Amino acid sequence: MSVGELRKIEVRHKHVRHWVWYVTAISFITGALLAASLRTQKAVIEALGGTGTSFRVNDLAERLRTARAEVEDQRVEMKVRLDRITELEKALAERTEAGEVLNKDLQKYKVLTGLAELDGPGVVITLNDSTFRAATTNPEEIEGLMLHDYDLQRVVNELRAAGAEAVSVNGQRLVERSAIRCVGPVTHVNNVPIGTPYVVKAIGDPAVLTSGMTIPGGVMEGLKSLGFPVAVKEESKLRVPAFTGPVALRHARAVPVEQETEGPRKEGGR
Amino acid sequence: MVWLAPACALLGGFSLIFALPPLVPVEYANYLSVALLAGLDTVLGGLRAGLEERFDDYVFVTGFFINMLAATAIVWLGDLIGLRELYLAAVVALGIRMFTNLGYVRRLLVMRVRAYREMP
Repeated sequence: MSVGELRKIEVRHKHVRHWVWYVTAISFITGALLAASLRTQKAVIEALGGTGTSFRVNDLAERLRTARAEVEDQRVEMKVRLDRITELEKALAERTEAGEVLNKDLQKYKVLTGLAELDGPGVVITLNDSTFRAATTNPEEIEGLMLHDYDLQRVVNELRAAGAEAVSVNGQRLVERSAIRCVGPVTHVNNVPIGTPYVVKAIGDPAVLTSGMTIPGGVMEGLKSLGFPVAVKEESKLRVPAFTGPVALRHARAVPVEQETEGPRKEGGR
Repeated sequence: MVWLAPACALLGGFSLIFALPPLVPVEYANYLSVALLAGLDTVLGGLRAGLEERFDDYVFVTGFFINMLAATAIVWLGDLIGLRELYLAAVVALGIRMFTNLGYVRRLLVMRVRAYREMP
């Protein structure tokens, strides 16, 4: 081996040591980055709640199920309590004759204000989203195929005009203070979110209510022509639940009797 | 045994940070991933240059920092202009480079081993 060759090898070894240390240093940083990235990704997955997105849907579905069961339980509990109140009122009234008269009045007003469960003949109207499929992803077109709060409002309005005495939508009794409106993509009745299919129950003369609803050019015909599956069914006996929302008045006060007569005359002046 | 020292360093850096609690906020996960790719690309590029005996320390070190900065800057720009997929540009570019460099490193190592075996 000549001296030149040896020197070449020596130089190469020096060179090797030289660059290996650089790569080693950068490797150290890269290893640290790898660890940091793994830790962060773990944190991301934890932040999403669960081990992955597919499990997240299941988790939400489970939560929805429990929440629904809870709501059902509360409703049963509410009904038990309301029945108990009526019972107590009756028991209280039975002691005196005046009490009995007052209780009769009380029960009458409870019926009128929607605080009592009612039954009688009437109609059941079912409404659902359109069976048509949107040909595009255009949100406006898709929205046109869904039932909206104003559809429900028109149906209820028509029922009231036809003489319905008590109306409920998906178990929510409509009273004087009820509102039907959209909150995001969901319709709320009495501030409770309800979904399709909508079941509207109305107590009244079944024949009159049906003819009011199915009048040519009326609400039902309009909805039908847009592909919404709507149906009116006459019932000889149906139940409309009591209003279970808050009944306390925070602003309104009853006007004392002696001033009461002035009101209508002033307002009614033409 | 050229790769032994960098491999040890990689493991060392990894275990050091992995032992610590997470340092980076979740929002910057994308930035970190792209920076990591830039680092891996630089390591492979350095190995290749070293094996080809045309390693330049200035090129190597500046390449590491500039690539990492540019990659994270692209992610940041994407977030800024509402084009979140812009980080894919960095991922694709660095990914292709990594595979190219890996191919060269493999070829050089195979040639070395062959030359060593055929040595009399």
